[in-house]
Amino acid sequence: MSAQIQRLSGVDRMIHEPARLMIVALLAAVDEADFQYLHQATGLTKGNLSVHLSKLEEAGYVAIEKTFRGKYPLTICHLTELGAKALEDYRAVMKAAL
Amino acid sequence: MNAIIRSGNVDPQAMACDMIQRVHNRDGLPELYVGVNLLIFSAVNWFNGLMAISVERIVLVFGAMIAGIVMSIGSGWAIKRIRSRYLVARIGYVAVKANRSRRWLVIGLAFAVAVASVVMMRFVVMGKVPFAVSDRWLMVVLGVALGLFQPIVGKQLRFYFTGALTAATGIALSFSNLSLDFRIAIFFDLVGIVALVSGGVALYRFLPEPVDAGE
Repeated sequence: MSAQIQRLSGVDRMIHEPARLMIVALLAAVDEADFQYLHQATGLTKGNLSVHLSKLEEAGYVAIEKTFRGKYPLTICHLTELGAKALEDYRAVMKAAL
Repeated sequence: MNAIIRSGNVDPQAMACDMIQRVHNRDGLPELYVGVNLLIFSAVNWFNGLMAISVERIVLVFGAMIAGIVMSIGSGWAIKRIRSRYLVARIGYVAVKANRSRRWLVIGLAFAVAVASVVMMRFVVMGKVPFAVSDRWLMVVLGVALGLFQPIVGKQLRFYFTGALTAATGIALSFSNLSLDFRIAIFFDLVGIVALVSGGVALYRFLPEPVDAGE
């Protein structure tokens, strides 16, 4: 097995999961987005999205802030520096392996 | 998961762009905006084709051109305002990363294409065609180019239909014996109406979708 493929075993599983990869990739492309936007963009169910966001928040990859815009409650999410670095590392590993 | 399968992208950045584009076109607002803009540009050609040279014609042509250009430049801002005021509960809130250099590049390219098109049309109208391109081919190229552009940018199924209609309109008008001004005016009218209908239907179908806070 080549060294590049062996590196795959060390891939960040927090990001490697497809639903979380979608969330992290999307948040990396924007400054911030709310829960509803992520729901619309990813096509995940609200329950599923909520679970994955909680896991990403626990890992320190995503910061979540509850706020209001007028009467409308917003759950704003943005990628942390740790999350951005994790995504960059993930891309590098996958690119090298594939 | 669905977004990954639909997009066929494995690169996270490309995947994100694909998802953003899909959501951007989901409510039909961009199409409604483009439809109105196309009708304004079509008005320029109608004024040019129907009116004799006069102060009124110059005012109307310049007025429509300025309105069209202002609407084109302000499209992102206007759509964002409408969404944040009326649709935030349905489509959600997003703050896109500011990319000024890219924005100016897009505006510059659009301006260059517009100037090149006008110069080309003038050459065709005056009979001084620089290449072996007739005004009939101009309509075909315009229709097919805009038709192909729509599904690539739109990322939604309906853009394949509107793209096909646009290409068919361009090809059909290439057989017409009307002057180029009228053909382009009719082309922009029909494509604008298709965009308005498609955007209107998309918005009509999007609005009744249930909104719940379930986070």
